[in-house]
Amino acid sequence: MSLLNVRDLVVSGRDGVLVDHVSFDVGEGERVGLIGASGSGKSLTALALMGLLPEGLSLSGSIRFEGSELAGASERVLSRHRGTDLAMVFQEPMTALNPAMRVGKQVVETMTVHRTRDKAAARKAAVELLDLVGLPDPVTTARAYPHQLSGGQRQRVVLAIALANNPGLLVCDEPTTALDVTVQARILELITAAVRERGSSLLFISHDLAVVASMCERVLVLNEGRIVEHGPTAEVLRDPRHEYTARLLAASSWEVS
Amino acid sequence: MARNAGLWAGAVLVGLVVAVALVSFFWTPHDPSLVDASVRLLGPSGDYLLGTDKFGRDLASQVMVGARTTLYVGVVAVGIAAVIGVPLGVLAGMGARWLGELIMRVNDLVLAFPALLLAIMLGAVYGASTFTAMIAIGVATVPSFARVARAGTLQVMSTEYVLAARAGGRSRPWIAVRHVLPNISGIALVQSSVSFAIAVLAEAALSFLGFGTAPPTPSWGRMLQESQELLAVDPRLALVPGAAIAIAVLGFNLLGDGLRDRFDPRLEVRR
Repeated sequence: MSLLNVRDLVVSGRDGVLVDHVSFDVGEGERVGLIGASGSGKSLTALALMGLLPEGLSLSGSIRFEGSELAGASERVLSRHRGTDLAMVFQEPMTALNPAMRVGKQVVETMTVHRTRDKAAARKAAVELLDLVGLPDPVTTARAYPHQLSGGQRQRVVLAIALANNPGLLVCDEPTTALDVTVQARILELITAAVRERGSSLLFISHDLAVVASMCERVLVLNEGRIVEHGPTAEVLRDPRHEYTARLLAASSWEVS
Repeated sequence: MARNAGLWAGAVLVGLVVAVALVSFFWTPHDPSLVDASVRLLGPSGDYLLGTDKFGRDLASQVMVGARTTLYVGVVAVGIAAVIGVPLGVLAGMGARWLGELIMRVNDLVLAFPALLLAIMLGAVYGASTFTAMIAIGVATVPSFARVARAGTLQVMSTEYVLAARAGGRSRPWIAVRHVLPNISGIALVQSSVSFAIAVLAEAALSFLGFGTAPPTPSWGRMLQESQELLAVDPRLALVPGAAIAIAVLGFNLLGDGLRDRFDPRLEVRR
């Protein structure tokens, strides 16, 4: 059985259907890419998985994580899963951290809130995590406030927070879009290494085919809220069946090697 | 620098009032309530820095001790308003939509009710005192805190770090305490300063009307009121407490405006 089963996920707002009967599975330890242009429903799909859809949007269908239903679950049930079973890395590292709290504390809290570690162990683990995500001098960095760090450093902190409780599934929503190219590559390597090492599954959302090709074993192509194509990454990119995928490919800088 | 000038001017004026109030605990030139008919209505001199009133009391000493009353009323009134208003505003911003609407409509109701009228009513029922004045001013100031707290909360709740915190499994009360409160403390501080100025003015007005601080405790508002009948003879009696009120109000307003410039996210320059 897969780790995550999504069946007939529909997200609709006042102006119509935004995610239309999306179904997919993510196996244990599998890395799946979700690609599509902006507005295709990628981020909404991710937020729906986390149970974090904005107010005013309604959800139907089924989202099962290790067999338990998340769609329509109460906030209490959801918050038990969030941050432990499911973790998320957001697109914009400049705003994803609380500006009024030291970053180390934000990592520590992720563990103490879920009682996965006691305070002292969490502090130690936080420094190790900051070290793991490649932050220089993690002890000092833990005491920094977000505005003292660069975008790339902040995204590393966000990643450390997401990894803190060894999530079963890591959802990354365009984690490198806001970063410059050299930093991008490093963050992507980190994400791949981290999920491999932990045996976590990865749902990687991007509009960038090249990035998905380098990260994911399987890919789902989303267009206007529908999955128009899915399959092993290499196959889909080499031989796109759907016209939309072909257009995406043509528009990207990625070259079939 | 120009933007900071107001902040500094405000801080200096407020500091002056606070310093005078603190000094009055240990030392005043004369006993502020000592009545001495032989020194009635003296002009400023070396002995009586600002002169004396119609009972021969030293004006400078009265102003000093009056600063105490003013600050006391301001601190308690603003404290009441902040302690009730900020959590209400956060609740209105984070809770269910109907709850937020309910809180804000009740808020509007209280806001529409004049603070002075409330104070006069309370004074009529419970007797005029500094205490009833503080409560009345505090209660009447709750809505402005609730309003800015709600606006700040809505803004914080729409940020990605709150979404990230929720994605990390934080509960709503946790988010309120750890994310919302620290990030709206700046605007709450600004509101405190502005409300303080209003509270100072309200206390003076109430004491002037006889619904505030009762004699013999010196109060700037009552000094003004006592000066009324002699206004034509000796305007100095009105000018001295009037200037004290003006300095305190101006100080707290400048301080509030200066702090607003510092904390307003729209004006914030990335440091």
